[in-house]
Amino acid sequence: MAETLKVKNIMDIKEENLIEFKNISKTFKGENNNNVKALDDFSFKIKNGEFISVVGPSGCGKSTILRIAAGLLDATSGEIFFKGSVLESTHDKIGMVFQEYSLLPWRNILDNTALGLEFKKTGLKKRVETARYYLNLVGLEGFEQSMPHELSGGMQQRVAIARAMATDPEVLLMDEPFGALDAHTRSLMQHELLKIWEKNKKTIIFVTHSVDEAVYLSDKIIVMSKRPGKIKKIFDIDKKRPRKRKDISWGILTSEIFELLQDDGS
Amino acid sequence: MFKDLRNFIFINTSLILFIIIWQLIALKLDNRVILPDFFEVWKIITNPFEEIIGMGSLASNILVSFVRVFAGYFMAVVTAVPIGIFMGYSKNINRFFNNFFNLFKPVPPLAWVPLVMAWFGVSSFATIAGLETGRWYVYLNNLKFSMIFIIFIGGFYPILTSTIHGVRGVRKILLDSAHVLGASKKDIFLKILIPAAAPSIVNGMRIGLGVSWMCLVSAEMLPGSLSGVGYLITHAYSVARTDIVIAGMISIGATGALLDSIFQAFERRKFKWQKLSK
Ligand SMILES: Nc1ncnc2c1ncn2[C@@H]1O[C@H](COP(=O)(O)OP(=O)(O)OP(=O)(O)O)[C@@H](O)[C@H]1O
Ligand SMILES: [Mg+2]
Repeated sequence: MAETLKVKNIMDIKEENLIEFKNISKTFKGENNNNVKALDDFSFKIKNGEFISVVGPSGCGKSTILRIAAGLLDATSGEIFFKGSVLESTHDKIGMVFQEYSLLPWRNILDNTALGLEFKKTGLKKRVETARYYLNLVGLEGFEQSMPHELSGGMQQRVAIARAMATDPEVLLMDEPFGALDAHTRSLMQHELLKIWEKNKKTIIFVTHSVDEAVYLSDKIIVMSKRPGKIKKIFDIDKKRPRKRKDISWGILTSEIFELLQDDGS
Repeated sequence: MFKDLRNFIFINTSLILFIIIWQLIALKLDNRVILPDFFEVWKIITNPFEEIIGMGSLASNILVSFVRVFAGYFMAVVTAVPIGIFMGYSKNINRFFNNFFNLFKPVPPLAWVPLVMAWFGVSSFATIAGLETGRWYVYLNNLKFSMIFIIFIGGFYPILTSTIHGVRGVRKILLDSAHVLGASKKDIFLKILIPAAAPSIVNGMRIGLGVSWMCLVSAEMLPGSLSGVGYLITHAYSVARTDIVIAGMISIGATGALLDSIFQAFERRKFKWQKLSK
């Protein structure tokens, strides 16, 4: 009896939304009533295992959404539900890769990658093993003993990805993680990310400035308007992968999103 | 080898010039009380274990001073660093203490002397140890509370200020990423805040040690003092031995500079990441 119930519960979660943004608004209080409304009534539901991209003009609140989802920032109004309950602070099943460089400059790459595992009190051997595994995955084997300042910006960002993955979160919030990479490395990393995502059944919310990247990766693309950020349109993409840039549907989709981003006079 | 010598001469030229001018003036004045011959002073410094005017040797007086400075400085470190970390971390703790600490900050350590004498008089570590005679009495009685307090005050503020500054300057993104990775409060302090602020804290400790050392002479001029370089200087002055006064001053300067350079070497080695990761 108990067994069947448990199974049913898991099924429910699979069916239901993993994360739900419900009427999220955010206003930053500035000096002498100089308030900035960054987000306006953002509502969105994400199913378990989905890959969602967010595109929109600079300053439209993309990072703000991720920070709220990560539990680093309180929404001015609205709520976020994670597995059916209100998310109030950080959650050990939600990881994040930040837009800014965020490695600890006094720790070597291996110790940086293992940071989350250290917080979770994982044993040393397991920590090193896991950190090495993810460093290999992002193509940084051999740099374990290097210091962050000895790595390029793109390499540091890959370490940040490995660090976030090492704690094995269910949801990965990624804020322009490939922004600092050259075209070649970038496409390699996109490919790797899809592989990891498919293999480990992660749910990803991915912020990017590149429409091309969003189309290549996502199940759904959220296009935002300029500040205060509102959802302008949501694109559902055919789940078939890998996607080919030479397909007609690719061209139609990208140009439609581009136009939407362009006419933001409204 | 030749290059090393040239380099050595170059960086010490100003010092050598100074000594030459000193010597020229001393020879011209020919008055040991106003300005003694450089070599008289040199002789005292190069024979640090020789007895001076019945006060023990220069080396033993430096040692006594060193222990005093260390005691006061140690207390400054163990109080200012934790207080600074908490004041830097929490706006409310900062607001709670800020006015109190700022009020006393501009008061020169020497201005504390009358109050400190009223509080502590000539009591020392020997007083709490309950000793009145014996060898340990002699040692502990040299550590007068009044002196240690003056030295403590001198070291406290630079350390406090740098610690607060260091903790405040920690990039928010480092704290945010640690939070998302599941850091506890303790992790945040021990693994993020303290290592990130360490260069600034250690820099404050270096400046604090310098100031503590500078407070030494004022501390050793206090009543009840019977040893130490500061006391040696004032006592030598009263018997018109200017050569000893100068030798004492040079010892204070040299010891301070030595301690400072040890700190600097430590900073260079340990905090290389800070310069390079800008
Ligand atoms: N801590 C803050 N205090 C005040 N205003 C803020 C703060 N964080 C963000 N903002 C403002 O909120 C708006 C949205 O910022 P956000 O960083 O979310 O934009 P973004 O979409 O990520 O931009 P970009 O693509 O350039 O990274 C901006 O106008 C920004 O100035
Ligand atoms: Mg952003």
